[in-house]
Amino acid sequence: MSVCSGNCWNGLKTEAYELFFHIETCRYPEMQAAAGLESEMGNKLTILAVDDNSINLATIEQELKNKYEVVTVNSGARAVRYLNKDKPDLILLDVQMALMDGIETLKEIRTMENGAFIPVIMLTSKKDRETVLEGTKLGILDYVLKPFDGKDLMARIEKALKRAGTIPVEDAELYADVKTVQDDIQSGNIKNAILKCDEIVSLKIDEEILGRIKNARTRLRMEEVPTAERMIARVLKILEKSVKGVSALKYPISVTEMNARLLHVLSDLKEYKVRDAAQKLEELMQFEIPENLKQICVSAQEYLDEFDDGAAEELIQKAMIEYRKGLI
Amino acid sequence: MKDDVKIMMDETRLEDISIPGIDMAEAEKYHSGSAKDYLELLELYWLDGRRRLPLLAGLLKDEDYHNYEIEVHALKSTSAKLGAAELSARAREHEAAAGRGDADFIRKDFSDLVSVYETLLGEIGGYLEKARAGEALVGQKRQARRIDAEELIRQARSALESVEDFRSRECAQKIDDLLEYQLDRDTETRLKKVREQLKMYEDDEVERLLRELLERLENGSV
Repeated sequence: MSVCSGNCWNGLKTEAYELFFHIETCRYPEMQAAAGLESEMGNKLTILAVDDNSINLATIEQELKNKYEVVTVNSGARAVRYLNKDKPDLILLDVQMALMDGIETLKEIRTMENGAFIPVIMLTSKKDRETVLEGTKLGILDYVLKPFDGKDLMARIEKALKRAGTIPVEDAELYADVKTVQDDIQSGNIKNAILKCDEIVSLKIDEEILGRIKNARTRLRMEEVPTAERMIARVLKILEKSVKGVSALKYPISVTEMNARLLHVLSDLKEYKVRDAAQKLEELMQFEIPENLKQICVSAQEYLDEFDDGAAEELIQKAMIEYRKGLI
Repeated sequence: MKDDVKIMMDETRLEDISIPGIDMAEAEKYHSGSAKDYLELLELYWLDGRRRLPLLAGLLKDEDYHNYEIEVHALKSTSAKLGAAELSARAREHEAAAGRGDADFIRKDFSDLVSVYETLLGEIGGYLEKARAGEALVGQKRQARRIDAEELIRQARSALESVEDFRSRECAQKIDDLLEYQLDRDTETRLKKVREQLKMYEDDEVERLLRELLERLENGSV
């Protein structure tokens, strides 16, 4: 799922065939390459480290050099000079510098074209906490206490890059985040659930998931909690398979049985039994069905949530036709 | 620095390093890299000490406790990172004293702080010197090559362009390459100074020194 950077959601809404192709290209990187979709991670990301302490700079360089392109500068002024010509992917900024301190430097950086929205992690000591609070007003994403542990620094950089949307989030991590939203909803902590959704939508994730989280957040804001909860449950279901590696669905199903169940759904829809149809789709997804069909079931359920039973019906009919043609 | 301690570094393990004043168990808490990486940091610490000691004395003389606090704060955290726990603890006391404006404590305890710092730097210096043993032999082989003035200027300018373009490691490599040639004493001294400043991440100073060297080379002053 994390390799998908296209718009699966639009594919679902418009043309089923395009969707099938798209999903396949997402699952198989070699097809992705053939389709002309290139990895965004081709080059090493650049980290600009700003610290007037040479030992800190050397440590940062040693810790990060295998994974990132590290540019080191020993003053705020030199950092500004660098940003005038280049744009790093993240800045590690020391708070306590003799000539131009971290906050002054950050203020300057935020006025620059190359620095206005760049993710920044502050390097600080415990006593700098007030400065960190000031830094948060200037949009820092995190802070690291000195002396820092290399693994911790690396983890925080990765987290910040994910939050900034620079690198994609792994499905397992996303699953855990979405699960937190579900837990918050279930424990009635709607405010926290909305905040967590805000955090998730800032990540670089599959657009299909992104759209669903945004919808769920809107529902939460509109106090339509049960609908939001269903949407979140579906996102978890989508993520479940890739997270667990193998199918999370337990029971095999024959082609005839699958067809019959889809016909029952269509029959419910013809009789305007929207909730029954949604329930039947839910039941169908408990079986070991093809991934593409599962995606269609989830999308059809979403149409049903919006009471757009016409679109759901059309989608299922198309799916059945494609299935008979052997395209699913 | 990357080459200075190479000979011993390739064989040394972190747990083999033994320097009075440094607790390697503490150092290993923060250092996940190789012994070679650790000794690179140690050399930086030693170089930095030569600058920081007179700086601290100057700040105390000027009663500039704000910048004194910043400098001892840096000493505290870098010492802790390298396992120099005793010095780190002392620096912490001075940082706290500067923070609360306790000039009396700083003045009274300053000579003790300096004494611990100097002793430690002496021990580190001695260890690094041993690590450099054998470097001279390699150095002799390196001195055999010759370079003409035009090529020297071209390579020095190329090194300047690298550092101006924030490619410090590339600049360091170019300086190392130049130092392998047979050079007049002045040029060699200047290039070694550039190399030392690169180790200290003093890139503005590197640019200044290289421009100065280029000016002298182009004017035929060397």
